[in-house]
Amino acid sequence: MTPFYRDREDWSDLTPIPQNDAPNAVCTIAYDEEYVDAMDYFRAISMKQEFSERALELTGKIITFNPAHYTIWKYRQECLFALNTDLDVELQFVDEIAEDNPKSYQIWHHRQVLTEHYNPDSPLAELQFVGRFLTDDSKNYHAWTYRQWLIRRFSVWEDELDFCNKMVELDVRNNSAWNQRWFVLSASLNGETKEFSVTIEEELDYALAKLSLAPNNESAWNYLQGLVRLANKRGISGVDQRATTFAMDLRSRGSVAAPVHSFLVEMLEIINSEDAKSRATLLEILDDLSQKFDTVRAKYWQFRKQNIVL
Amino acid sequence: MDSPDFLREKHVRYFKQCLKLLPRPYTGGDTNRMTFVYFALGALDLLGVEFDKDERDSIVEWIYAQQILPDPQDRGRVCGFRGAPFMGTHSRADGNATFHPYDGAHITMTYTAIQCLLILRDDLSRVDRSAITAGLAKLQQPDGSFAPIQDGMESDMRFLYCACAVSYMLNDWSGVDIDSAVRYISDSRSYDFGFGQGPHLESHGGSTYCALASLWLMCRHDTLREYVAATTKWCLSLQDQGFHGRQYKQDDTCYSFWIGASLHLLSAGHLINDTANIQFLMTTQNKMIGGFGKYQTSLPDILHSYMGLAGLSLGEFPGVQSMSPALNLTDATVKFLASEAVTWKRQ
Repeated sequence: MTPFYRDREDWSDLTPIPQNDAPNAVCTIAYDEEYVDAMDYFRAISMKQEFSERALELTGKIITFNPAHYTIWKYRQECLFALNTDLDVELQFVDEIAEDNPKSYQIWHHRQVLTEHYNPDSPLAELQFVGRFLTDDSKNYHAWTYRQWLIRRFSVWEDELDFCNKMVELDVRNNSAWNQRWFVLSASLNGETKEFSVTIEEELDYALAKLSLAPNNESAWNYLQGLVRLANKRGISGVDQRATTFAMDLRSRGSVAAPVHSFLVEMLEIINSEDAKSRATLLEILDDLSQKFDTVRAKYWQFRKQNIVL
Repeated sequence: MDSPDFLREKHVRYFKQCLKLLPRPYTGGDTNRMTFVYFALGALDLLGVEFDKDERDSIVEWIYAQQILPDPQDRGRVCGFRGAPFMGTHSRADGNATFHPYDGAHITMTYTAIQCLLILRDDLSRVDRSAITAGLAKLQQPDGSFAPIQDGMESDMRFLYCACAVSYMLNDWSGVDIDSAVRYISDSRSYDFGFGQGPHLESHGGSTYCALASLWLMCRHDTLREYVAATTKWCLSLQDQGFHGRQYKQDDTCYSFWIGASLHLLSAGHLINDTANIQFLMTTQNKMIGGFGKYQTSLPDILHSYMGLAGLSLGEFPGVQSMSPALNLTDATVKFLASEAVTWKRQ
């Protein structure tokens, strides 16, 4: 079959509309001729607002050339809804496109629009899809964003901590997975998660356990520091002390990991004014960071030291 | 004076070529051609290249042909600029325009079109300010964020920033509910003090830039005061040699701008390890054809090529013009924006 709509009998009723860019056009693109032809017919069919099988097919073709074309996706949605196309058929198409274009905003937005429109009783199939996707591309921002949307929209919190555990097992330095834990924790503390709940103390245990295995993990230290701040804000005592003792212990056992010391700087700075001994330790740690453990940020650690000495 | 490693002439040639014709892989950016025009013109501006009058006038006409003006039949369209005539529609100097029901303005295209006009020293006399700000108001969401088009796309920090930059350049904030926008930004601050694209999302170099620049443009950076130290630390933690956008990702040319500019907006530019950052950018510079790639092994593309130069500019690299981090324009162009040359300053 001809790749061009201009040669097709079943499209001969339409008069193609060219882009007709000005002679002084800037940043013109060396399009594929098939894309030009398909767009010419898209302009014509969408001008008439025809939402038909052939229009749907046309959008599919253009998307393979330009998966970021938001107007085409929008028109495709209008065709799907007018034709009442089966959701599974459409998801098959989307999965194929997503495989080659994991970072396209439009594809993920399209999935969300489909879920909104078809409104399944359970988001399980979608959550499983995103779960499989994240196993291969574990830091994909769009996939995590869509996952959070699904969880909120359908209020399904029970299994999310397990999912985070699984993702952290795969890669303990996956900051996206740590962020997702925080998302679950905040929702639980806000009473959004119904019968399921998680506490700051439980998360403290979890973070310390992971840090025992891999102390040089900035993501986990950031999470721990978030927990300490949150506990202090909520008047939960002991969290800051346990975290500080844990980090000091790593240092005294000879750790040279920058994140351990970066964390200690924050903890010790809070108590430095009252205690000469911790002030001396703090200054020593800042020197270690700028001279040995984290030399790329030497200027920063020296700046922190100046602020204390002054 | 220029560093012998910096291939200025090759960069000039690369961006001039981009301005004419982009190769086939750019088809994926067909709706965003205005951003490509901005990257090319912005880069040439950073390189200190001046345009002759004919060239300037010709590009200015093409940009104005993408402006969507108020519709005499009032079909309720959001005004602003489209990225290119991809729906076959054009606006003409006489005010007449062809109509297509799927034609529409995009907030990022409005943002980059105005930037391009300023780089070309146009007086903005044909920009329909009130139509654009009325359009912005329609795009703001109940949570304070912005959608880029009238309907059918996600809303997040990127488009909130575009709305702020447009309002700042037009010197008219009537299209933005500032309190609501500031609330969205605060809600998007993560436990590690970076900012995500929205509430609960992971901190990211790009969204952190958008958040900080928006606050700066809205003159609401006072709301940051108690977090400045922690956000500064988070930004600095993303430097290996160059910068990356999230923990444990690979250094990538564009974050020398996103994170570098964020640090400058936090008044902490002096804490960047410029030497390491510039060394990194020299490795992503393409020695054959000019431009910069995302990574050392990548071919150059127009976005990363612009961002590489912007990163060098923030590091006060010789031969690259100084810039304003919040607007992502050279200081000379921002000075023009502040001058009497711009139409509404004269009214």
